[in-house]
Amino acid sequence: MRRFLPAWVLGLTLLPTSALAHAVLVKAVPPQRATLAEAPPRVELWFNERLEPAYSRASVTDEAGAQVDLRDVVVSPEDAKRLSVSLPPLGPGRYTVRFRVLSVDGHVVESSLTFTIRSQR
Amino acid sequence: MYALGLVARWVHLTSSIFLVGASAMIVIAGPSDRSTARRWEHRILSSARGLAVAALASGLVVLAVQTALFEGRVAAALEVSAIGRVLVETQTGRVWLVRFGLLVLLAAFLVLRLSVDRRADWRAVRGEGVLLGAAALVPIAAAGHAAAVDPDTARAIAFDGLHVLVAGVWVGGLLPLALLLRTAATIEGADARPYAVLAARRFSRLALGAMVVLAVTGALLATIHVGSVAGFVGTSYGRLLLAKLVLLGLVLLLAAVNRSVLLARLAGDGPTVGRPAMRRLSGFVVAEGLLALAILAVVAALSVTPPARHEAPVWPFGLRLSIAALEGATAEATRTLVGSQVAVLGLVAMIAGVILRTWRLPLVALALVALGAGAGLALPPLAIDAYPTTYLRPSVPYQAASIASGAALYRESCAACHGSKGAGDGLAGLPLPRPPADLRAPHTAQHTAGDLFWWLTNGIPAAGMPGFGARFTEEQRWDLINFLRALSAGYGARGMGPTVEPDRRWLVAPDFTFAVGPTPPRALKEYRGRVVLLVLYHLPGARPRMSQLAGREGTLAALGVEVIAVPTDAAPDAIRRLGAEPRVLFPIVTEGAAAIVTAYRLFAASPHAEFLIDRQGYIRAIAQSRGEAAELETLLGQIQELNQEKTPAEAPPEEHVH
Repeated sequence: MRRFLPAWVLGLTLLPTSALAHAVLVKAVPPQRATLAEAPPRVELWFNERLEPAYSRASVTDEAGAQVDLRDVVVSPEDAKRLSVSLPPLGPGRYTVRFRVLSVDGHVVESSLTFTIRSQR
Repeated sequence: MYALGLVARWVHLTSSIFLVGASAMIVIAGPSDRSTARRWEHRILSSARGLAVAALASGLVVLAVQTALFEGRVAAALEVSAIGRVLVETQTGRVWLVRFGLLVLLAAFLVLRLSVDRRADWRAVRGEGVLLGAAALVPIAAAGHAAAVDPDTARAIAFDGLHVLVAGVWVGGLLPLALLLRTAATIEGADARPYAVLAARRFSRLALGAMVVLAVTGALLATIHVGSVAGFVGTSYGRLLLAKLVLLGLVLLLAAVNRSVLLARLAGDGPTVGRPAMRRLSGFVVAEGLLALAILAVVAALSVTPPARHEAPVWPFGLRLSIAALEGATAEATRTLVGSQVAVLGLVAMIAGVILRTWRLPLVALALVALGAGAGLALPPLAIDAYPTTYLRPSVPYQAASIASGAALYRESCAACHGSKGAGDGLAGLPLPRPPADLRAPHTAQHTAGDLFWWLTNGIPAAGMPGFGARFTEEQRWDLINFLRALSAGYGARGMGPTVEPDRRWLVAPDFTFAVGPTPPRALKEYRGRVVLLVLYHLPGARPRMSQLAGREGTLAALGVEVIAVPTDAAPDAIRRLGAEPRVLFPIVTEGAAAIVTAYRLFAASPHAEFLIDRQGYIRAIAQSRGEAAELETLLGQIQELNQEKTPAEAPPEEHVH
């Protein structure tokens, strides 16, 4: 017991006090709440953990709730943290991107973000 | 479903770990000719067969529950095609396949009951049992939280694998050892007593090493998955880990008694010596084993709980300790310094007390007094009021768009009391019990973004500040906080001039997304690693300066500086209005200009402003003017200085949040 006490003290001092914020969704293009003049060709989502392609989905819906994306969701083969889905040329309006992803440690995460396409002047 | 998954995980983990421990305990005890020892070995082997069946059955349930979770529907748990998809297409499934295959092999191996009459055969067969058990257990690390750690995935998996393996040998060996001791303590089992004593000694030595490995790998895994004090006390994961540590503390207490008191009493030979001690030891070891079962239940819960690092911690205390509290308080700083020195003395006395035998009691007493007094002196001045949201991290990044929408909210709802410039001088604030805070004040270092979030949400009743939790969405509240951060930073940047001060990196350039005509949007962040000159200009006033910059485009490009020009009127036809001569080759922002202007005007209010942003994303110099042409050499010199500066190992700005 006594012999491993120093190891415990060491173990406790190893705990750092600084925090590192890890958002689940790291980056999105178009970004959350973006207002765009041009319709984006696709939606790309970056996560902080590698994704399981078989169980990672995303969809884009318009204000009426109709799915408008091209249903070709793919986890990038080069970067397993990136999910993307293509879009047809979209008209002005507010769009919602919903995603449900499974990370390699077996956790499911669901969330959504929105972007707006401005009407042309 | 959740409860079923949890129980299945617990049974699966426990049986997998006990399989390793049981096989290892037989090897640790070694071969014996005594009939009682052989009977014990066979009983352990037959329970190992039971454990293997339990591990396989619970493994199937775990897989079914996982499938339902992945598919998002309960019925999928019983669909062969869905389960097949999980097995083939996910890492969790592939790891499961490997482990399940090895478990089947181990079960078959145990059922075969190979002949072990020759000593060499015994070693080979029993050793193989341990190896198969370990091989089936360790890959579990590649399907857990460690698999998602990034970067250094392999390192995290290695730590986790080592942690479960060592836990398996130690925890799994407890109950077999207890059974051996109990059997040997009976009259009929007397022939196995020396064998049992030897086994207990060997196991005890091994357990000591195991604890050290568990402590070290456990601490490393905790830094990876929890990472902060707030994560420890403020998230489900952290609290489960604390529960695990408390249970472990009890196990260690029992282990210490076993090792230092009971094991020593097993000394001596002859059939009667040490019998009561042996029985008591077996009782204590059983207690350790039961506590270990509870620990494994906590571990099963941990495995389905998101790691603390990914969660927003809820701070459970009304206070927190921070060095920032000492800023500007000399007397308190002295008090803390003295207190910390007293505590260090106490620590030294404690170490001396542990090492020395002669003066142990007085030394430990002195150490406790000094530690208590030191903490009593040093800690109170460090205390700062804290709230449940204190360690909440902003869910909206520090970006120009967020600052701009925060600025609009501020004008609507806050300026009446806090003043249009945030000085706390609004007319509506005059009759309040406490004057509204000067939001520009540098005391913000003492308050986390989470503190501000709490005040914004719930108000400060004693000061007459109302809560805005019902009026603003969470996103809007973070927008306001980002605006306040920029406001306070801008106030602090009043003195910043056109020349770079070496190593003064503090003014974070808020990130922004912008587009130039029809090109895809880019973010300021993408320019990290290069010096950026952000120009806020207004026509026609700034035409001379813009022509000058455009004319020297080649020189600027040679220095590797990226120029981004933002029209302050956010005109969509800005490029055309600049005219054809001289040709402007750097980007003129047409999308997102309004937000950039609102945010950066907080740092420089002049009609024309040039911000020099260094390679880490800090604003290092601000040149304010009316846009007239000025000699360019100063600017070029500053850029050169930034280019030659050594890149510090400091955290990039987004982690630098108050």
